[in-house]
Amino acid sequence: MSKRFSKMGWIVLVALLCLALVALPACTTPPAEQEEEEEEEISIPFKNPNEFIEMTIGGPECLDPAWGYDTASGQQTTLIYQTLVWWDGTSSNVKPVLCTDYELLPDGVTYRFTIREGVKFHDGGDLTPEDVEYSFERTLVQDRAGGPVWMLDEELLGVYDSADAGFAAIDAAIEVDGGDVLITLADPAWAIPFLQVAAGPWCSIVDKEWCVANGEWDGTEATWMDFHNPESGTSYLWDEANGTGPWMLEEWDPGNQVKLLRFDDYWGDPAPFERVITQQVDEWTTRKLAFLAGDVDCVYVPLTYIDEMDGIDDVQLIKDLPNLTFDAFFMTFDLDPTSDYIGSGQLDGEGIPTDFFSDIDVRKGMNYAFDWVTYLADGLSGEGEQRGSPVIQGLTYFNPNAKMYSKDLDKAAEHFQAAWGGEVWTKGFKFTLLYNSGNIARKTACSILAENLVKINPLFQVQLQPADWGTVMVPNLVTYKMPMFQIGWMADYPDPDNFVYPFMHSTGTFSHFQGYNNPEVDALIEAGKLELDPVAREAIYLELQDWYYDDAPGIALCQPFARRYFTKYISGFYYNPMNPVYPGPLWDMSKSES
Amino acid sequence: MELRSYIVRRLLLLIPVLFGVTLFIFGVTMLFSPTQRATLYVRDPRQLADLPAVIELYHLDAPFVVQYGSWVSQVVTGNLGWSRIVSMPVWEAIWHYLPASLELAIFATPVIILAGIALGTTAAAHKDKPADHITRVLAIFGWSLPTFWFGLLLLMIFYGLFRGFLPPGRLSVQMDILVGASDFIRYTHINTLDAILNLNGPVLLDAIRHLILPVITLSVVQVAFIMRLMRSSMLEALGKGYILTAKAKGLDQRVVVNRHARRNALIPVITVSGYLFAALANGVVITETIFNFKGMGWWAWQAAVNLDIPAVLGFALFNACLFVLVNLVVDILYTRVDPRVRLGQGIQ
Repeated sequence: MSKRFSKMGWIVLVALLCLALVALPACTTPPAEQEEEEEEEISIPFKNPNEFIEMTIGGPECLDPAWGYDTASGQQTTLIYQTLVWWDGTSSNVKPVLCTDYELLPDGVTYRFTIREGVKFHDGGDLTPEDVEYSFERTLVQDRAGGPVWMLDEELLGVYDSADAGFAAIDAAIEVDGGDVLITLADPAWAIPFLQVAAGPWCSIVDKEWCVANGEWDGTEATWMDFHNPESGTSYLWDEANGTGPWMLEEWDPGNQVKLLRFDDYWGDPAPFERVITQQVDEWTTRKLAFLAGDVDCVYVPLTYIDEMDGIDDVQLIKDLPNLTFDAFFMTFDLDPTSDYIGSGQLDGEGIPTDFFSDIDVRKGMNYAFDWVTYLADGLSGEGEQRGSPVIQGLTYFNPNAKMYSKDLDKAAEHFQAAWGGEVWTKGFKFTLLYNSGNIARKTACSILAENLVKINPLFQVQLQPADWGTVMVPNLVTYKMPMFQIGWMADYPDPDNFVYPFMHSTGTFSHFQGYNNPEVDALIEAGKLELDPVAREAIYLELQDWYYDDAPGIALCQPFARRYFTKYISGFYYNPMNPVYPGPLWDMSKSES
Repeated sequence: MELRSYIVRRLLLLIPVLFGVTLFIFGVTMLFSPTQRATLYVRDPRQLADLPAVIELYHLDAPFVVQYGSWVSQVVTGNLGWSRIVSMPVWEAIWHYLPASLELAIFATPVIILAGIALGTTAAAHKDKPADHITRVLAIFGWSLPTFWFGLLLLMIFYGLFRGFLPPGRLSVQMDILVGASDFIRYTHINTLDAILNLNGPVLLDAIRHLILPVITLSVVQVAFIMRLMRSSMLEALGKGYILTAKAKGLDQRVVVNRHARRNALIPVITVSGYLFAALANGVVITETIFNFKGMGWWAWQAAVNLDIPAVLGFALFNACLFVLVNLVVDILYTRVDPRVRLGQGIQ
């Protein structure tokens, strides 16, 4: 064998051996030594002084403010575009932004917004009242299926699809009057909620001239249906942006990152960061290492890994932020008999009948069988609080003293003994609980219920099954085949109606799919939606909170809390639960090494 | 057979291959109900009530023949559909994510091949001696390494422990900003290549720095396969009569191995090399995810788990084309390495 040839082979061989030698020590370090290493001080270096860099999971679906309904899209839209009004610091009031003033006219249904002058769009165009009019009308015109525009449809047109109202109604709802814009509501009851909705990213103001020049709706009746309920990606604003915000779009690399560049002609205070970069990185370890290496300023930490971030000095943790989010365990009142998850479909100990949960004692028994202490500790790592109903903390008329269930296996037994004339207790039941695979909180909730039920009565058998959300859970949920399901709701706008409706009204987003139908509750919700007298409205929502406890359509799980992880170099963060913009109000934040 | 007609014939065979692949994938996806396929468009539970409208909008409940026919009619006009998961047309997504995978393939393939050839030759030349045993053990060790674990280990050491020495991603933040500037032209979106074409040394060095860990991760696992193949091929070649004759004639050992034995032993390696490059260019989802080096593998994985059917079909089309072309190139290379082989006629 030639020396020259074998030398090359030996070189490669030695290189591999070296690699193995490096790798092996890391594999053999005892746990005790690893813990000692973790307690060592970790210093995060200061890098990229002009950029704010966030590393998170998921990215925006699009940049079109009229389309986006996901958090990631809203996050970018909020930085690029602006609305007529926005939340005033940490208060629950809104303040003028693209308007200088607003007032509700004596008719009780018309808002007058005086549009701010001297505001530039990113392409150099000037903000005019016509842009505001066009922006609202364009949003109502587009109104895509599954989008956020239903809120404006309801409040301005009194419908849930703008096509049902027609263009004349859309046109009449928003009018220009000199330097003002008049927006007319469908009902006086929307006066306060409308301002909350108007602060949402779907009410962002776009440049009419720029939109029309790039093939968007031209603002006329003749073409509006061509732009109504479009398919994905057909809008020019899908991946192009031209707003008035402190940052403008520099680059959107789907799946990778969004880069925003400071807008030098911004009408307000200069943006504190030259660039805002949001990077999408799915792997937690990669994100963590990047954060500790100082390459990012803010990182998303899943609940499962929050312990890994404890005790690191240079990490700034802001916790216990009250999310306007509510999770519940729904019970399906009228199950589809072809469901694979109800066993025999009879109350014979091998299944449950399709109307099993229509018995109030069954539902109350389930509530008393649940253990919130364990759920919050194990499922949410303590990051949440139990709530008695969908009217949660942060919403008007939240009742901190509302009745709530607590784990009481004896009371649970009493209710099960009374359920279905005593047959539930003597025959038992069996069904399957599905939970989102990989979701620790939902798995914990299911496990708690299953374990406690069998403690109450060994004949109460609940099987657990992880399932994919899209391919398994959704098709079964919308066809009434899931005996119980867990879903959470995040506020569109901070009004109690936005919560009680989906959870308690017979046509609500979630309660509809469980088949809950209580005419008295429906009447209360509809009355509360339109009630103008605050005292009367409060009484309605207090009563609805009691109803959730008394009628027990589901198990009210919790209001989760949020966390933020920044490096110590970031300051100025504050939190407004009315609109918890993620990662924070960057226009008021800063980055400094000192 | 003449080369040109051989190439044309092979390319024409692409059409039935593409038809068969897409028909099969389309058929499998049709096993999912319209509601299941509609969940791709419904990202939030708040949108559940709009599922029927989504199904109607995208014609998800149309018969299989209608949906497939509609898709084919779009494809022949160059429209591969919309990849919902990355919010762009499918053809654009392929163009967008392919450069990252190509860059990994361009750097990893030579490392894997050369290291595999060297180790395999060494092992064969020292058969049953310590060098052979050590090489084979290391090969099994490398082959057995879970990519996910090994990649994270490298990241924790060279990025975590050494404070950002070899980072994940394709470029650092500052270099990425520089590359996004108007005076840097992105000819290929392969960062190393573009840096060379723009005569930009800092970007080139930064891009290479970001390639080191993913290339090592891919190489350590894949080199074992090439090494084993090369070893067995070399052993077979070294045992041939003409090798004994060459030695008997007094030829230098180096000449015997390099000019006579190794050339013939390379034939199976060439075949595998082509497939290896194609496989890497197709994307390696775990490596891409760990090192945030998103390419075709990451996109295809996201498309599959989210039932982004147009993306799945588009990836299948690309995949089929790539492997047909790679097969063609390999067949042509064969004739160069082994003069006995004639295109379309086997060994003459």
